[in-house]
Amino acid sequence: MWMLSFIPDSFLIYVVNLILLAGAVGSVLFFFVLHRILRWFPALSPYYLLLQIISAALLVIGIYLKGGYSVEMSWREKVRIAEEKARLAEQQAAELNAKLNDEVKKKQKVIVENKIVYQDRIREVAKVIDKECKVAPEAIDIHNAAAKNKSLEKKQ
Amino acid sequence: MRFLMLIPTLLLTGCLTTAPKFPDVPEELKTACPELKEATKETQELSKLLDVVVVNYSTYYECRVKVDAWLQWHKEQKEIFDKAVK
Repeated sequence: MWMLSFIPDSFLIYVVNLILLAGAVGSVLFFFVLHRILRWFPALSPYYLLLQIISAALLVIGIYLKGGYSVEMSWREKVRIAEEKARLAEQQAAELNAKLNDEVKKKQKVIVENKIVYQDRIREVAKVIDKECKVAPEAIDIHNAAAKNKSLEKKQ
Repeated sequence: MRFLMLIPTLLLTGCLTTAPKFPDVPEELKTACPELKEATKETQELSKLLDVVVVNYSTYYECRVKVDAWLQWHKEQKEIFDKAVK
C-alpha cells in the first residue's frame, strides 16, 4: 500500500471510487436485475456468467482499495502532522540558537569591558601596589603552574 | 532475474522518516575556551602579576558563560525535540 503514496490523492480516490461503483452497479445489475431478462437469451449466457464474475471481482477489489485508501490517508495525515512538528521544532531550535548567541555575546562584552576597567585601575594604582611589595619568583612559579594545571615539585 | 534485485530497493523507500534534523549550535559556542595566561619569570611587580590574574579571571568568566549557554542549549533543545517526537 505504501506505493500508493506516489499517486496524487485526487486521482487515487477517483480510481478507487470508479472501481467500487463499477463493481457495485455491475453486481446489482448482473445478480439481481439482468439475470431475469438474459435467461431468455441462451446465446448470451456464457458472457452473463463472465460479467457476474467480473462485477463481483470489481466489487471485492473496490472494497479492498477503499479500505487501503483510508489507511493510506490516515498514514499521510500522520506523516503531515509529524512533518509539521519537525518543521516547528527546527524553527524553535533556530530561534533558541539566535537568542543564546545574543545572550553569550552580551555577557562576554560585559566581561571584556570589566576586564579593561580592572586593568586601567591596576595601572592607576600600580605605584601604590608595587611600592612596598616585590613578588618572589616562587610566587610566579606557583601562579603559572596553577594557570596551566601543572604539578609542582614537592618541597622536602 | 537480475531485475528482481530492484525489489529490495523499492521496499527501502518505506523506511523514510520525518524526524527533525539535529539542531545547529550557536556560533559563539563553537570555539574552545582559551588557555590561562602565565606571568613572565622576570615579573617582580605585584601590579603585573595582578594584571595576569585579572586576565585569567576574565577568561574563566568568558568560559563559564559558554558552559552555561551549552547547558541551557541542551536543556531547551531536548525539550523542543521531545515535544516534536511525542
